[in-house]
Order: sequence, then C-alpha cells, then structure tokens
Amino acid sequence: MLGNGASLAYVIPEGILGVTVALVMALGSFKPTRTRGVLAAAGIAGMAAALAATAAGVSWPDGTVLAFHGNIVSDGMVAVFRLVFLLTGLLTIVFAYGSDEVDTRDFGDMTAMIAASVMGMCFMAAAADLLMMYLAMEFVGILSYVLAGLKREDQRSSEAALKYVIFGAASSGVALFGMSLLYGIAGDTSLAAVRAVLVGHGFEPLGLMALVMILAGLGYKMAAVPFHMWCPDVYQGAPTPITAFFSVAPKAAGFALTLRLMDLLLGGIDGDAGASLGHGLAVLIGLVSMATMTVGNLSALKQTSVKRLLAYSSIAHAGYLLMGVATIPAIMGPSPDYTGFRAVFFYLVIYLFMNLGAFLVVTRVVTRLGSDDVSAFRSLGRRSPLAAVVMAIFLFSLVGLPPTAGFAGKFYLFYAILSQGSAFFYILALVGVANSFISLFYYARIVRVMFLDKSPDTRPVPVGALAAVVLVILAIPTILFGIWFGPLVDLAGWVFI
Amino acid sequence: MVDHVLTWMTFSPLIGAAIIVFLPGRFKESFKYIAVATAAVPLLLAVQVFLNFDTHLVPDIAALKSAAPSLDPRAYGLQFVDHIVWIKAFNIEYFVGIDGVSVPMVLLTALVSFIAVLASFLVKKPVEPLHNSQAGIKVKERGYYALILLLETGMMGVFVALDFFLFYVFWELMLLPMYFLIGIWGGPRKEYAAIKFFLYTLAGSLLMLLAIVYMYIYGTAGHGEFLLADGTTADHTFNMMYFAYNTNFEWVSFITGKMLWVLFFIGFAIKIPMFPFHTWLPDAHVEAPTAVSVILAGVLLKMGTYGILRINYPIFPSETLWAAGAMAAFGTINIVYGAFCAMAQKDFKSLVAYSSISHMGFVLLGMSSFTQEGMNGAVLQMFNHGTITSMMFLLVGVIYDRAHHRDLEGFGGLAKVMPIYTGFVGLAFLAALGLPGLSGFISEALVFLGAFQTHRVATIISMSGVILAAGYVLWMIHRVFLGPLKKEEYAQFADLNWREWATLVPLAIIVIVLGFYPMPVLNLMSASLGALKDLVLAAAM
Repeated sequence: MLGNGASLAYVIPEGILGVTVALVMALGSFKPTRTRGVLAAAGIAGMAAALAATAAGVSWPDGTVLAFHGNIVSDGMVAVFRLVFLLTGLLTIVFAYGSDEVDTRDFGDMTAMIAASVMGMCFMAAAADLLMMYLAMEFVGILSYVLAGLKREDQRSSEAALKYVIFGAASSGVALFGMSLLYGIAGDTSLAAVRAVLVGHGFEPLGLMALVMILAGLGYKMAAVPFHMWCPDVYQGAPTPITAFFSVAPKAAGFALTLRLMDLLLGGIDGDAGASLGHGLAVLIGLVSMATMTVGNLSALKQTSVKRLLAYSSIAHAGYLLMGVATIPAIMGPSPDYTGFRAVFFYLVIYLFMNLGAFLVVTRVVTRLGSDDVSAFRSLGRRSPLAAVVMAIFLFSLVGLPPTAGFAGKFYLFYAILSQGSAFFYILALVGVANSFISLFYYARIVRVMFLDKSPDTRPVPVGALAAVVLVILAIPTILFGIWFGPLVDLAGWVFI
Repeated sequence: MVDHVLTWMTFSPLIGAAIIVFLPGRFKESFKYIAVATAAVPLLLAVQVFLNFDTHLVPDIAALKSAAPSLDPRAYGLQFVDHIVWIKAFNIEYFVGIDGVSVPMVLLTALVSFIAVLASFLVKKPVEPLHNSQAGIKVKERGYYALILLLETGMMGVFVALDFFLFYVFWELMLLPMYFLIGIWGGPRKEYAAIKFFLYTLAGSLLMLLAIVYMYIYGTAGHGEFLLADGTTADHTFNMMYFAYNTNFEWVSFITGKMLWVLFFIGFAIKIPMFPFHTWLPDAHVEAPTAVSVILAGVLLKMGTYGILRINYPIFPSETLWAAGAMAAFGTINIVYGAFCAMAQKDFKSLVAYSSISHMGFVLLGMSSFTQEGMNGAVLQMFNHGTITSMMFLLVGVIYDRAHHRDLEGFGGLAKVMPIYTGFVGLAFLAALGLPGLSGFISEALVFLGAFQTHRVATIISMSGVILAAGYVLWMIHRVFLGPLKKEEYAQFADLNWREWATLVPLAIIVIVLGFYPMPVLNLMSASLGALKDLVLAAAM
C-alpha cells in the first residue's frame, strides 16, 4: 500500500486530464465566440496525450498496486479501461466540434466537462474503497447532468437534464445506503476489509441486501432494466454528440466499477457462504440481463426517432454485457476464471466503435437535415453514400453479424456464458440469441430506409471532410476486429490477469 | 497451375468487388465488364480443380479413429488444402479444402455465378420504368456488381471452409449481399421479401452458432490435444475434420447429440428450404431480379443440403441414423407438397420456385437412404438442379423482359413467335421433370433406386412427384406456348438475343451431356460419398 506521494506515479493519465481541464477552462474565458477550434484542439491534445501515455505503459504496473493508502488500485484493468474512456472522450470532442447542436459559447465548458468526467471514470475503474467508489460515481454523475442540459433554450434538453438528476439522485441514494450498510457490517470503507468481515461472518441477509442496493445504483449507470427509464429521454434530449458520449462512456464506467466490486469482494473467495452469495448474485444479474435486453429490443422496434431507437438499443446492449457479468460463480473458488469479465471488456471496446460510429452518422444527419426521424434517413444511400454505407456497417455490427466486430463480441460473450455449463446460463444464452434476432428488425429498418426507400428530396447530404475521416477511422476497427480479433483478445486479457 | 487455388477462387470475386467499389464514377460503363472478368477467374480455376481432382482419395476411417490428429490433409481425403492459424486465442484456423462432396458444389458455384453476372448485362436500354426490367441491370450498377461478387465469395467460402468458425463467417457473409440484391433491385414487394429471407436465415444460423460454440467448449473435453496448423497443440478446436474423424464423440449424452443435430439441421433446413420452413423462398424468388434468382436457386439452396452432409452426417452419425426416417418423410413432403403448389401457381416464377422446393426434396430423400446410389443421386441432384433451375429462371426472365408480366394465363401461342426460346424452355422443363436423356432423370432415378432400399413407402409416395411434375410442366407449356396468342403485340416478340444465348447454351450443354453420360460428375463424388455412408452406417453397430 503506497502513500500519497509515491502513488502519484500511478495516476499520471488522470493528472494530464486534470491539467487539460484547467487549461480548457482558462482558454474558454477568452472571447468565447472565436475559440472553438482552439478549445477543441486543446481538449483533443490533452486526451490524446493521456491516451498515448497509457498506451506507452505509463501508470500501467505489471501486477496490482494499491495507491493512496488503499483508496485506489492500479493494474492492467484500470489501464485498459482508461483507453476506452479516453478514446470515447476524444471522439466526442471531435463530433461536437462539427455539430451545430453545441453552441460555441458553451464549447469550452463542454470540453472541460467531458475531460473531467473521463477522469472521474478512470477513478471509477480504479476504486478500491466504498467512499472512493461513491465519490467517483457522483463526480461523473453530476457532470453528466450538466452535459445533458447543455442546450439551455431547448425544452427537451432541460427536461432530459432534470430527469437525469432526479433518477440519478434517487439511485445514488440507494447505492449510498447500501454502502453504509456494508460500512456498518465491516466498520471500514475499504473493500478488502468488507470482504474479510463478510467471509468471516458469512453473508447474512444484510450483506446481500447491501450488495443488491449498490448494484441498483450501478444498474442506473448502465441503464439496466428496471433502472432504465431515464435513458431514452436523456438520449433524445441531449445534444447528439453528448448522447454518443453517454451511450458509451458512463455505461463502460458502470461496468468497470461493477466488475471491480465483484472482483474485490468475491474474486477467488472460498467457503460456502461466499459461494451461495455469488450464485445468488449471478442469478439476479442474469435475470436483470434477460429483462434488460428484452425490454430494450422490444421497445426499440416501434421507435421513429433514431436517437431514441439507439437509446433502446444501448439498453439492449447493456443486457448483453450483463450476461458476461453474470458469470460471477466462475471467479470464485481457488482457480478463478475471468473469461466472462474479459468478454464484457472485449464487447465494450467493440461497442465503443460501432455505437459511436452510428451516433456520428446521426450527428451529421441532425446537423444537415435538422431531424433525427427515421424518415430523415430516406435515400441516404444516394444522398450521402459514404455515411450510409458505414452506417450500415455499424448497424449490422450492432446486430452481431459476421464479418463485423459485433459478431466477435457476441461470440466471445456466448462463449463465456456457455462455458459456465449450467442450465441457467444455457437459458441465458438462448434469450441472448433470441434478442439478437429481434434486434435485426429495427436495425434493418434503418438500413432499409437508407437504401430501399425513395425520398422526395434527393439533394446530396455532405458529411464534411473531418466527419468522413472519423467515420472511416471508426469503420475500420468495426470490420477489422470482426476478422482479426486476436489482438483485442490479448488486450482483454489485461482485465484481471 | 495456380497454387492456393481454393483461396483464389474464394477471394478473387472479393478483389473484383473492391475494384468496382473504389473505381471513380467515370468508369461506370466498365463495371459490368470488370464483374464478368472477375467472375471468370473462379470459373477458370474450377477447370483446373476439375482436371486435377483425385477422385479416388478417401479417408481411411478405421485408421483415423485410432490415430492422433494429424496435419496431413490427404489422410482426411482432402485436396487443394490451405491451412493456417487465423485467430490463435480461440484456435480458429483458416482451413479450406475440398473432397468429393464439396467439389461438385464448388464447380457449380463458379459456373452459376459467372452466368448470373452475364445475365445481368443490359442488352438494350429499357423503355419501361427501371424496376420492371428484371434481367438487365441498369440502375446503381456499381453496387449491384460489387454485391453479386461479394455474394460469390460467401458462397464459395461456405463450400470450401472446413473450420466451423470460418464456415459460419462465410455462411453469414452471404446474407447481406442477398438482402440488398433483393431489396434494392427487386420487384414491387422487394422490402418484404428481402427482410423475410434475412430473418428466416438469421434465425437458423443463430441456433447453429450456439451449437458451434457449445461444441467448441464441450465437444472436445477429454479428447486430448488437437494439433493446430502451426504445429502447436490446443485443448479446443473448430476443425471439422477432427470432430468427424479423430474422436469417437459419444456426445455427453445422446440427448445432447440429438439437440446439437437438431440445431444444425434447422439452420440448414431453412436454407434448403424444407417444409415447413419454405415460405420465404417463393417470396424471395418472385421479387428478386433474374440473375439473383438464378444464384438463389442455383447455389444458395444447396448450402442447406451440403451443410447436412458436411456437418450432421460425419460428426453426428448415430444421431443422423436416428433422424433418417424423419429426413425421408420431410423429403417426401417437400416433393409432393412442392409439386402440388407448383401446379396451383398463376405466376411463372413462383411455379419455378415451388418446383425447386419439390426438387430439393429429392436431395433429402436420397441422402437419408445411406446407400451409394441414393447418396450419389442426392449430390448429383444438387448439381443438376443447380444447372436446370438456373436455366428455368433465366427463361422466365426472357419472357418477363419482353412482356413485363409473368402471368401464365396471359400468354399462349408463343411457340410460333419464339421457336428457339420454346425449344430451350422445353429442354429445361423436361429436364426438370426427369425426362430420360436429360440430366434430371439420372439423379432422380438414382435417388429412387437408393431410397427404395431403405424407405419403401416414402419412395413410392415420392414417385408421384414425377407425375405431378409432368402435370405442372406440360400444363405450363400448354398455356404459354400452344394455342392462340392472347395479345396482338406478342407477335412482335424477338427471339433470344446474344446475352440470352450466351447464358443458356453452356447450361443446356451440361444438361444434355450429363443426361447421357453423368460419369464426369458422378466420379468426382462417388468415392467420398461411399466413405461418408460407411462412416454413418458404422455408428449403427
């Protein structure tokens, strides 16, 4: 366990982000109407620097290091999740730069808040203490509420922000109550201490109750059923680039925190009490997973707003990801197996590319045509062939069809849960497969509209050079990880070695 | 001589598709020529495969069962093999090769794809609205030719892949181009037909995916280590050959085996299409442009029966025996039901579509017999149906291009106006009903010969399918070609143009030659099918 001074070496990317936030805020206070490019460049440069540092191995220890007196962990998992958060944040700023939904007046604030919330997410993935967990969660949460309400004149956006706040406050209250119960049981906020006490005393109902409450708070972050109600309204109301950010980053952070919590409390645990709690949680999460993907997919079927449709689709994807989290029984016992947890990370990376890609296309369409209705996408295949073709790639990847990366992700998840070898997981896999099938209906509907339907307006829809480049950059991994996902498997190997 | 011939056959269309996609728009007149040149590459390589294929090579099943897995492809009866590790983390390999079961399909795919590309050429500019022109493609040529070549890559890949994962990727790869080809260039109800095709196939293949992943995890447990192409060993494998030959898989329980068998079978049965999963086919055919119908009927349907022979038969022999009666029964239903439906059709194209369902029933019946004649008949029927049905759809396209409708009641007397066309129709449809001297007869006769030994009742009922076929074929000829002309302007119809000649003649030659002398194709498959039959029957003991 390291002291504060020595710990600094393990939070260098977060430090870079902190400097970036300060810099962007300072720059933003000058002539806000002319500095959009400068602010975007500063934000992107800061993110890119943190990304490059992480990729180069900075603050990426070989084993596990407990820093700041045991408040945070630094290990491979934190590092690979940093990559996910940073990449999402970076791309969001690029999207927002070209979108007219973010006012130039607000651009500096937005950039600073994105960078800050990415920093918070890195701490979510690293938290090893209940207090740290809660602080990181709230930090990200509060920034998100503000980001959702960025379009101040727009009623939808304000409504989204308000809904987000109310739901967020309620769920984090529940989570906090759960944490306080654990603190009451253990007399300490460190997860290691909680684990020790729980192992010693068995998991009496209070411990289970506390965990379920914490999971409810996290379920809100991941937009899992039944804590998903905020999601469509917020996604629809927020500016599209921010929606893209919400659909990937906080969700990934919620999953990172859940995986971390499960690992620290139950990883490698022995004894009957732990085993029964683990199995109970697995069934609970499995059921939530089934409900989440089914509700998400069925609700998406009838949507006419593409942003809302993608919101429900992201709920469904949270359901797929929860299948991987449900493999808790595998991480217990003397020879823990983290395949399911790795599959979650693996899927998140792929989801990052395909989902951000789809949202970027929506961002461009909203900016050019002023609508995110399905009908706005009519004849996009003729009006903007590049955007339509890459959109089709992203959507088919979201369905999970080979040779796209989405298939590799589903394959890894199904592999992980079928390896569990119990009837419950077979049923879970079947529900997952049935849901992949249902999802084809609504994704294919957008594809149909883009390529098969005729539009009265046949003028070209220019996507812009920057967006075109970014779209291609996102489409390449969406295909590449479908036919060559070996390197990504290796990267996922860093999540719990 | 070309090395890595199967890899080239599979991916050369993809290269052509990429060229077409990235060429600037000012070359748009040359897209179709690039497409036809690209499709010619697999066809030329198919000739090389045909000439160099060793027809006597079979796996020594008894020796393989006791031997350790080896990397020698000839031990498994495989030829033209390319085998490298693809994704090491999951022991996924790029493993392609062919034996007697796949070689007729590879040849068929190369041939039919080439003809389909050629059949898409537009001979003269259409006067009618564009979507009415079902044969020649004028709108969005770039996308059309790129997709049809991508489709060829997918189909070829399915027939050469010997790794489960690779097989699945190719299997799904062909879904997307087909969806767009029907959905964009199809007839009035194209959206409905395209999505129906997509959903049906996806439902089947997702079940198959579960079965594949399950086998990867559990199918290999306790069977020691498997050798990968790079010489390392692995605990789990996707290699179909190891599953088929190296291990005696007494599946965890027989129930598990049956379940896996059924999961695979449903995936394939949808593609055949087997009753009651057949309803997507008439819709897809009626809406698809001619060339796409040709590929759909000529090649895609065979993937279903091929998959059963490639996966269900060798990997689950005892389960296959368990299900033989059901396969024969469904085959019989397909034959009779398809023929009755064909008789009731008013649309020329749906008549051909339903006749396809009927003819694919013969394949199912033949392969469920586990006799040399029956199995040979089944695979020969797959090949023959590919050529005959392609002709039939091309011929329907010919009349549709001229009359812009396909109503069987709306013609009459065309024999006088288009004598050469009528001749080709006679040839193709009589071959379909199994007239002796044409290729369809040989395969149906072989199927009956083989199946009668195993499934007497089913065979006797199925025989009625031939009579029913005579019914719908002759009645069709009667309505369309004989009697008075229904409309004055039909007297102005031109007979076949050069494109129609070029697409029909090669197929007609094959149909006639194989009708008299089927040995060139039968020899290719006979030895491998004999070994496959022995492998299945050995499970009974």
